[in-house]
Amino acid sequence: MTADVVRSAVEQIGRRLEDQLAPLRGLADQVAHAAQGVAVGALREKDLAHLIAWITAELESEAAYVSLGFAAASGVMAERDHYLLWLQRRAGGIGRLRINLSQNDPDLYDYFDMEWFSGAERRKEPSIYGPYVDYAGADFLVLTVAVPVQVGSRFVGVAGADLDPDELERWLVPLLRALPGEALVVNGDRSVLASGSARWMPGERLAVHPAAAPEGWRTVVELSPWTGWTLALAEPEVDRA
Amino acid sequence: MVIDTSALIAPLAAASRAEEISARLTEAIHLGLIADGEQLPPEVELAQQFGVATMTLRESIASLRERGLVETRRGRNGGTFVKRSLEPPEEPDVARLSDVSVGWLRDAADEQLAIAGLAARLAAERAAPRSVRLIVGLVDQLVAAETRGARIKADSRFHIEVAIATRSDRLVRREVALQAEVAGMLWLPHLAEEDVAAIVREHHEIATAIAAEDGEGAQAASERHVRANLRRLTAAHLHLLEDSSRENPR
Repeated sequence: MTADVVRSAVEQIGRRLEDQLAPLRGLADQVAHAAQGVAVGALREKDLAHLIAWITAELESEAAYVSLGFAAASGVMAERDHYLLWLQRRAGGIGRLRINLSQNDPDLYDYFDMEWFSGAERRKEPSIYGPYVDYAGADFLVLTVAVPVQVGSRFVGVAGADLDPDELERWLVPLLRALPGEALVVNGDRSVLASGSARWMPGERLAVHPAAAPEGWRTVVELSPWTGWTLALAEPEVDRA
Repeated sequence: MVIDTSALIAPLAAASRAEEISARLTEAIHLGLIADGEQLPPEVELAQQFGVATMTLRESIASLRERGLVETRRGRNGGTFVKRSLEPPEEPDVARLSDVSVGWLRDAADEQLAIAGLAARLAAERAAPRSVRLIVGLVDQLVAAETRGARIKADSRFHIEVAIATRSDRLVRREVALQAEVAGMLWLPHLAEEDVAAIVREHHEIATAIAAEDGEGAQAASERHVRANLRRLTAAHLHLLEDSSRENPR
């Protein structure tokens, strides 16, 4: 009985995450289309300029996204090695994210080795990192999710988005609340993403990952594998009184 | 009925917003988040981005101009441009440190105790592996730093990275504002080499406790560091007063 309920919640969470990826897959396809037939290292900003209107429209309709855009892999763009076509929602409207991408600057925002980027590149599947305070980039607490852009077998970058963790909480918590007992979702770094009870707070870290000690939990289930997230249902808390 | 409270709260709120924005931009320039020579967006657009009135933003930009962090050029290709010197001039920080009172330094340290102490504790309890790597790396960066500019940067980035590791937007903002205010005053020629070595040791202690997931240890180490820095700042302030009274005897 519990197993069925948990399985159904896991499926719902998986579907919701897949929905959330749809605009990223759409953007990845368009970037791949623009990059097709262009020699390695010859892609220019003007080849992608038409995507700005599309990205803006997506951002306007999708409240869960703080930002959305394309991050180029090394050696793809003609003008520069690090290149972002990344639009962000701000208090004053939607605008292009401006960060330090100057090539020889030691403080360059080097995203090539950031988990969301390198994870998508390495595993050739979506990746998600966070929540983290992206001080140099988004400038507040976000989760960054990325889908690889492939032209044939060539990796040209990622279509990515920053997600508002409050929006994640808004749809995830009710699903956790519906489970028979106290439940939480935790990432691979042991950080709590959301919880159906006041026992754990988002952003806190568990001492031990549930998957490493499943005997302490009623149920421990992996969510969509690319997320590295785990859903855990607690044993009823023992009354120590 | 809608009660208009703006008259009650606006002046204070506007002033602190301007300060917050200039602290944020100052740190962004010092930390290299904005490239040297980059043009800032037009005032109206930037004000919108920060969600403040254009007047408030103009106030923030004026204080950046005074500190030599931006310059405004007129004409067809005019605008406000970032002027990042890797070696920020000493004079403004010397002037500020001699102008403040010891009471002001103690008050700033009180806030730092609350913010940096708690941030270190929460970082030890929450930091992701990537954050721990960055924090540890910034201790090495301070060891390697040889100039005042490089030391200010490694020092403030260390404390901001600890705050970032807590995943608290609010703590990050407070730590950024504190670093913008205080870091330049600490790294002045009055600081002895043994103090530099001690600061490195203190950062190392904080980083080690965070890596060991020891919350209490990290908080205690961070608080000791803030108190030691308060003594360093106070000693430097008193020296500056003596120097100036020798130069200008009454």
